[in-house]
Amino acid sequence: MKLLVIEDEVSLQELMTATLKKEGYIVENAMDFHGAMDKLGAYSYDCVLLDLNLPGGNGLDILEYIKKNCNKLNVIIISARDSIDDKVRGLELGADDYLAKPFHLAELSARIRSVARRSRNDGELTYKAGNVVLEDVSQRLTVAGKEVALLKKEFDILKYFLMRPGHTVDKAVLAEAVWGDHIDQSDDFQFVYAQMKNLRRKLSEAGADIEIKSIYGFGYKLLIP
Amino acid sequence: MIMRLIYKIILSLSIPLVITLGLWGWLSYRTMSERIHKDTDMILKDYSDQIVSRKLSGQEIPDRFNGAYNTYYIKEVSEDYAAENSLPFYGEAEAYIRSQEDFASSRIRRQVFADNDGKYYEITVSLPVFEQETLVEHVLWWTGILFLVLLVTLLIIGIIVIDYNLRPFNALMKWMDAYVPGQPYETVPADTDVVEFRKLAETIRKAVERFENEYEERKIFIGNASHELQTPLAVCSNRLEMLLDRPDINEEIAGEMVKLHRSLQHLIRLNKTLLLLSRIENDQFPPADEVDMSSILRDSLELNGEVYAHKSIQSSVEVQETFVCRINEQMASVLVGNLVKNAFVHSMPGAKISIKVSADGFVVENEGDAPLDRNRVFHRFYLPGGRREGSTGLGLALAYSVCERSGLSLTYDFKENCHIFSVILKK
Repeated sequence: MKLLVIEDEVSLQELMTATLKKEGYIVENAMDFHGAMDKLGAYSYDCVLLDLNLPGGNGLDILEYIKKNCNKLNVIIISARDSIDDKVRGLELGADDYLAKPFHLAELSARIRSVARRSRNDGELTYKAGNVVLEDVSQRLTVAGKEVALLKKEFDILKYFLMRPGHTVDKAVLAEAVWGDHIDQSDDFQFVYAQMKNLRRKLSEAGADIEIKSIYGFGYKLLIP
Repeated sequence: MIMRLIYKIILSLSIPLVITLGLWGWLSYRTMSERIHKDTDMILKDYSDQIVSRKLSGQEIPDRFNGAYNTYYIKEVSEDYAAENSLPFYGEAEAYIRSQEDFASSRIRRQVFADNDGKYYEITVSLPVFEQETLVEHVLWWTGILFLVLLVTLLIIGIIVIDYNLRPFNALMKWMDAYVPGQPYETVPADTDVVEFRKLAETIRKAVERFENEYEERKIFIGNASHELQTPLAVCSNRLEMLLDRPDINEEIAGEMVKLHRSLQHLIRLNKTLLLLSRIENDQFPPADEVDMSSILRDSLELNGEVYAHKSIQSSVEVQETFVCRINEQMASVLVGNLVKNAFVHSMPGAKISIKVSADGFVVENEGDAPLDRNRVFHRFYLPGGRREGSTGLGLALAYSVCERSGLSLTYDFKENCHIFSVILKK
């Protein structure tokens, strides 16, 4: 899969490129409005990561150009302007997703995967790992073809890991992602342990071949055989 | 004593006025009454001289009581007495008036004289003073009335003149009362030809302009600073995450890196919150949705109850009536989330939290030992019990800002060992 990263911040661009290359993507870069337009005109890509604040022009103009001229090209907007207006305008113009800075890189690759999957499956979001299949919209989990009932939080946790296979996840970050932004003052992660314990038990009872492994006591990692 | 300027001026004016007008009244009264007494004495002297000259010339002396109120009396005195009292004497005494058959307080005049035979006599003439007394009384009354009328008139004129001339100043005062920093305001009233007032208005205008600029700049600065910090913070955090995924680090290094990562997350959260706060204060979340607060409150209570399960806090919601409020939905959850979380975070294990919802607001109560500082509880970074790990110190400031911009009022109270945060619809 070939990606174009349009981002003027050098260090962030370098970081995104390194991470995405590690994930097996072919990554190209553009630093400003004109560079991006040149590349879009000359080559074809599967997905564009687009920063809205660019030297030389507005990212939304690039988006408009893409939607007019490049069929089936997915666009994920990356913006430091975390305002609803921008988000709405971007999505209305046809962007596939919107990611506000600052974001976790794992989040970025998960979004790319999900956007790519969505364009293939016509919107049905499923996450597969080993013999585990999670359907996001219908909130269903099947392990080796059999359906497993999960509570809401257990489902959210599993989805979070399926979006980030192989990445180390800090339990504080997990708690914030699953329980919401307001979880920030707690220094006690009992509630995470309790849910995690139940989720692991349900997975192993159903005979799942994936494993959520504890890492050094501060976090977890999803291991796929 | 605190009072309005006009009353202060009138008060300061009335003291010297009372003194000078009083002094003037007293002096004129004294002069008048002296004049009246002098006139009386003149009459007495004329009368006495007339009788003495008649007696000495051997003419007929009028009757002692000649029908008028004035009387005379002649007695023979020794030579020694005459020598001692050679000067006429004036004084007050009771004199008998036959026509009235009564004694009346009178002015008397005594004078010694000698006849041709060398005999000494003393003539005493008297004139009752009731006429003069009445006159003096009148003078006193009229002086008093004049004094009061003058004083009151002067003070009323003073009030009118001062009030008239202070109009530009009063307009300025009214303008200042209406002024709220950061809100649109009318131009400073400077419709005056008084140099001092013009200067005052100009000074206020400049000060407000400078203040508004600084206010705006400060708002923009916080917004811009947090905005600019976002990308480098994201880069740091992501680089760390990438490092954490490397297989060649050991547990010790990973532990340190996670600590670093959490501090960084705290920084990111702080920055995000500041950015949110500055957005709220820039009115980027207009109240656009009809939101049922009781359901948000229930959800938030459930969520926090789960997260703080280890504290085994007893929480309850009492909904008397549903509270539907016109507010931005995102802001509603920021408000409720922060108030409820605040109650959970600052509760001791086993404490009670109760939420009461009525038609025009809701109350979040949690048990506590000591009241918080009412004046600072909604200030940014107000952390009464010292800094807590992971706390931004911005939660209540956020809640307050949301209320300010959504037509709600947020107040704090401490009663019966309970912290009470009330959100009420502004009338």
